[in-house]
Amino acid sequence: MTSPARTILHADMDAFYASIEQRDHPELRGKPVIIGGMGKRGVVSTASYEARKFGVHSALPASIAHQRCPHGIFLPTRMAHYAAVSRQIMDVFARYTPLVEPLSLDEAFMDVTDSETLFGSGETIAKRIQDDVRDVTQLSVSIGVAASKSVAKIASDLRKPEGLVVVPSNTELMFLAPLPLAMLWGAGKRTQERFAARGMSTIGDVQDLSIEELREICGEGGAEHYWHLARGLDDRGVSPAREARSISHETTFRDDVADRDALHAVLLDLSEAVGRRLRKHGLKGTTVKLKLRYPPFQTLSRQAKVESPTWDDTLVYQCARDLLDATRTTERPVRLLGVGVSDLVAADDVGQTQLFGARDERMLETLDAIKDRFGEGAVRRSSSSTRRHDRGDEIYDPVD
Amino acid sequence: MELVSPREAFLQHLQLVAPISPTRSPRPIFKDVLLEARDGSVTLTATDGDVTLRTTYETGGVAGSGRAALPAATLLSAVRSLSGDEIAIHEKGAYHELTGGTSVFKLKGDEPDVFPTIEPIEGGKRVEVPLRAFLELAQRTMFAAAREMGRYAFNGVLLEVTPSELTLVATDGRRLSLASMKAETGVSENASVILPLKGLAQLQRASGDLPDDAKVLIVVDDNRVSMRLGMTELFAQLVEGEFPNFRAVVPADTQIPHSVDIVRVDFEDAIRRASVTAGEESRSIQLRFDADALTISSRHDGVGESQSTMPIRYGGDVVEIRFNPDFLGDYLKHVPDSSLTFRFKDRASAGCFTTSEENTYIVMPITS
Repeated sequence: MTSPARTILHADMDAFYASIEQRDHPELRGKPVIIGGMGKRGVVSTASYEARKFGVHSALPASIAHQRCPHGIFLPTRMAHYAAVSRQIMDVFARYTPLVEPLSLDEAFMDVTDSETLFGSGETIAKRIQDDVRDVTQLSVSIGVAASKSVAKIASDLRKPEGLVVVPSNTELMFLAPLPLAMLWGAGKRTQERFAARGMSTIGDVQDLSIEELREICGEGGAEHYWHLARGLDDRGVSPAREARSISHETTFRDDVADRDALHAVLLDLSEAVGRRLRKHGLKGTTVKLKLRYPPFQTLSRQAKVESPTWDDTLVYQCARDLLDATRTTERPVRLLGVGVSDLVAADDVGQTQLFGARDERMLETLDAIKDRFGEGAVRRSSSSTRRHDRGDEIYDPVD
Repeated sequence: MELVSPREAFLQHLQLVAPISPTRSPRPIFKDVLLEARDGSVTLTATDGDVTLRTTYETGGVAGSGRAALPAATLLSAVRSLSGDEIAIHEKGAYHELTGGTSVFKLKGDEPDVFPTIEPIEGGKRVEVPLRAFLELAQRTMFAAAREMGRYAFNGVLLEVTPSELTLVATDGRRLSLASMKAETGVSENASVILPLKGLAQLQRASGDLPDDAKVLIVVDDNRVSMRLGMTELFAQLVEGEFPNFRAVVPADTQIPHSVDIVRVDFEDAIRRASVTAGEESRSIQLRFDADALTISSRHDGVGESQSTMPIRYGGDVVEIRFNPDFLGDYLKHVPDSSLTFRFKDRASAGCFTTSEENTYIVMPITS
C-alpha cells in the first residue's frame, strides 16, 4: 500500500424496502412490516426492525414468518418505487463527491478524500449525509468510514440502524481482530468453510496466520488476497459507475478442466451469480458474453444478443452454454471461465410484459432473498450440484 | 462417381438442397452436398448438422453410379455457369471433373463416407396432411417464435395433433400465435412435438413447385422429425425442452371483455405510420380506444410524434394500451385475412387478435 490514505464511506440504508413502506403509509410506523412473503410459498424480502424482534428476517419462509409474527403486516414488493427512492439517495451521495459507486439499490461506496477540505472530515461528511438522506427521503442510513472499501463496508454493518462507525487509518488490525469471520467481506462460502474447519472463528485468527499457512488453506491466489483483507489492506478504488457497462463473474480452476459437463455446471453457477447481481442492481442486459482462457494465457471471448433485456439466470446460462459449445473446448482444457451481461438498462425501463414470465421473476426474487440470507450454497439447481469441480474462489468482479 | 444428367434437372435439385449447407462450419463435410447415382436416379443430400434435406429425381436420361461429396456452393456456381443441355461428373483421381458443353471444371471433393448418414425414422408417429394448409399454419405462427439463442422451446414451433385437428403454436414469451385446422390426421391419440424453426423454413422453401393438392407426411420419433413432400425429404432434430402451457395464457372472453372489429388495411397503415416515430430502442406505440374511434399514436423524444385515427364500433370506457409496434407489424405481415377482431381489457392485460380463420394472436403490452 503505497498510495496515500483515502477516506472511504460505505452507506447502507436501514431495512430499506420496509422503511419506505412505513414512510409512505404512516399507519404502518412502529409496526412489524414484512415485505414479500405474501403467498404461502413465498419468502420474506425485508423485515422492519419491529418485525425483526419477532425473529422475522429476510429469506424466512412466509409460513414461518406468519407463525412468528401473526400480527405482522405483509406487503408485496414495489421494485420500481424502491428504485426511484434509490435514485434520490444516490443523488444525495453525489452532493459530497463525484466518486459514488452504487453496490445495489440501497448501498454505495463513496471516496470523499478530496472533499474533506470542502466539507470536513469523513465523519463530518457521513453525519451530513445521514441528515440529508433523512431530509430528502425521511429514511435512515448507516455509514462506515475507513481508509479502505472492505473496512468501511464492515463498519457500516456494526451499529444499525442509523449507525456511524469510524475506523481511523492504522487501527484496522485492532478493529477487525475480534470480529467474526462471517464479516470478512469478499470471503466466499467455501473459504469460510475451510477456515471454520481449522477451528478459526474471528478475523483475528486469519491475521495470526502467515502467508504460507494461508496458502495451504486457500491456494496461491487466495492467500495473498485474504492476508491483505484480514488486515484491512484493500487498495481497490471507488469507481463511479452510475451506468454500469457490464456485470460479470469468472472463476479460475485449480486444475485445467476439459470435461464439458463440468464446464456447464460452472457456467450455471456463474450465470446465477450474474443474474443475481443484475437483479440486485435493478438492471437487465441484452448481450451475454463468455470468457474463456486456455493455459497459459490465450483468452478468447464470445458474445450473443438476446432479444429483450434480461436478468434471467437460465437465459444467461443457455446463451453462455451455446457459446461455449460452439468453441472447441472438448479438444482443449480450460483454465478460466467467465460469464458477463452487458448493454444494461434499468429494469424498470423495460416495460414489456411477459406471457409466462411473472411467475419466474417472483421465483428469482425468492431465490435471491434466500441466498442473501444463507449464502450462495443455500439453493442450487440439481444440475449445478451434480458435478462440482474443485476450483478457486469466485472472483467478485466489481461493476466496470 | 460417374454421372450424366440433364443440366436443368440437376441444377433445379441442387438449388433446392445446396442452401442448407453452411458456408462456415466446424465440420468441413457439412459444406458439401452428397451426390448418389443409382439405377437411373440421382439423390442429392445437404445438411448443416441440424437440418438435412434430401431430394431424388429420375427424369429420363440420368445415367451413372457411385457417390461423391462436392462443395455445395462451388458446385452450384459451376453448374449454373455451364452451358449445354447435359452435365457429366467423372471421378478422376483426387478430383471430380464436371463437364457441360465444351467447358470443364475440376472440383476437389471429400470422401463421401464421411458425410453423415441419415437413417430413415423407423416406427414413430405418422401424420399426413395437405401441404398448403400445413404451410399456412406455419406461416401464421413461425414469426412469433424466439430468434434469440438459448430459448430452446421458444426457438421452435409446437405441433399438436389430435385425431381431428392439427395445431401449430409459437411464442417468444411476449407474443404468441396459434393456428389450427381440422384434419383427419389418422392418429389415435393426441401427440405434440416442438419442430425446429429452421426445418419449417426449409419445408416452405422446398414446397415451391409442388401441386396444390400435395400432401406432407410428418413422421416423428423421440428426437427426430422427417417431413416428406413427394421425392423430397427433410430431417431435423426436434427441439428439446418443454413448451410452456400456452392454453393457460390464451385469455377467455371474460378476461378480455372488450371486442372491436378492425379493418385490416387501415390498421396496417396506422401501425406503419406510428412505427416511424416509435424510436429505435424499447419501441412502443399507443392504441387508444375511445367512443367509436381508435387512435394509434407514438411519440419519441428526439424523433417526434405521429397520430392516426380510424373509426370503430366501440362503446366501452376509454382504454389506452401500448404495444411494441413490431409485434403488431409482424402479425399483419404474416396473416393475410382482411378483417380482424381485437379483444382487450386494460393497459396491463394481453391484447388478442382473432381472424375468421382458426387463428389467435396474443400480444403482451408495454406498461411503463
